[in-house]
Amino acid sequence: MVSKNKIISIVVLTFLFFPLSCATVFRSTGLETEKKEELALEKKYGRLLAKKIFSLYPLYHNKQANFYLNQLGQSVALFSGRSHLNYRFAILEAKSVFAWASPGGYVFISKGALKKMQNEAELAGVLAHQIAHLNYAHLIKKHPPPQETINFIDKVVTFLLTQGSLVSEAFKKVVDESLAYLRQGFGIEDEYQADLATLYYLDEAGYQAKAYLDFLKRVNSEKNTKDLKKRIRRLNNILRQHKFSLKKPLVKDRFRARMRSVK
Amino acid sequence: MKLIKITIFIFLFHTQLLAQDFYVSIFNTSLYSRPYKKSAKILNLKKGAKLTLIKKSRSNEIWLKVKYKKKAGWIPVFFVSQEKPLSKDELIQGVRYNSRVRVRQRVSSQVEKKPDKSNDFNDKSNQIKSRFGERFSKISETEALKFMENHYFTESKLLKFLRQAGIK
Repeated sequence: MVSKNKIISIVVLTFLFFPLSCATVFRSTGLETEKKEELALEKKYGRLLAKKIFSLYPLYHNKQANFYLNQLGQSVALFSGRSHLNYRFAILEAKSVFAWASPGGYVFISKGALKKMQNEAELAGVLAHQIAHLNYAHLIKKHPPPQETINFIDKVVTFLLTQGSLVSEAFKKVVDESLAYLRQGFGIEDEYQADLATLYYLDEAGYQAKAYLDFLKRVNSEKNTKDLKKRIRRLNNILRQHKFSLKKPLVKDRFRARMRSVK
Repeated sequence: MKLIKITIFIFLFHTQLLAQDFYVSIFNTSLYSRPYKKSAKILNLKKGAKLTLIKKSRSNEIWLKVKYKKKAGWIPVFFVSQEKPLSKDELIQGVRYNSRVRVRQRVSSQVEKKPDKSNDFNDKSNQIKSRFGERFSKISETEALKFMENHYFTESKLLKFLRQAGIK
């Protein structure tokens, strides 16, 4: 017979170990907890980087196209993992084919990339891919923002030292490094991870997941790189194994109508 | 020995019972009968629906077998989170910023009717010509960011946008 004291000690021990057990299970799922403060810092980081990006490539001045891009991007974001982020999208005045994502939900696509696309599903795929990079926090993990000064005196000192700006030099340095990293491109493992999520986001939003692969193939036919070839091969296998529907729409007509003004 | 066994049992029981709850993190999704997207949909799940994890897929790390209102089914890991999704009020600045802008716009429309040309790309005074003949907006980075942040659509408008093309 177990005595009363022993039962109490069992219960106490269980509750002492309980938080540890929770943490282990949570970590094993590969998901991370998010806090409001972290999101606010991420947003600040993203805004600074977004401004840097705009200084590199100007905003493409086409209201209709930017409006459509945001409609589509935010629709896809409804069916992606972190729908509490405010995703914003913009077209950059650049001839080369690229898309970038800045923390906090800022997504950029070049005019050159838009011109290469043939339907809405392809554009949704590229946007979903950038959303996936944001959801996995690939950029933040490589270049984390410096610890913010909470102390009022520290804030005043930063304000005086930076001649009126509340952004520390350390923060500015991280933003510069992250822009250089975006220009260089993510590592292949990060791209694989984002590619897989892209297919699920795209399918969940209602578009044909294969459209994303079609776009990558088109880009690869002109800009043949080893990494892109590897990604295409892997995406082909995933599409076969994970049994995505090939009957979902591509939406050609609306895309053509809305993109007619992009020259 | 008995004491250790009981401790381990309670420890595992708690872990199974309480630690493996998840919430649907996207607008809506479905519970699938098998761990692939083409399989039959058991029921629809809305954002914030609480799910209990039963097991993970053996073939890949993507699908989770979960229980919702006594019904078991599969869901991709991409569409769940451990924390309850934030409500609209808890969203970070973006939406609040936009709502303030809208309020300001409403108020200013009552007071004065001066057109705001700062983001008007068709206004030639806001454009410069490159040596290739293309027109670029000369708005600053801050203005470009503001323009980007001003795009906000409600969930109902986004769903309407998808429905228009026969997607949802």
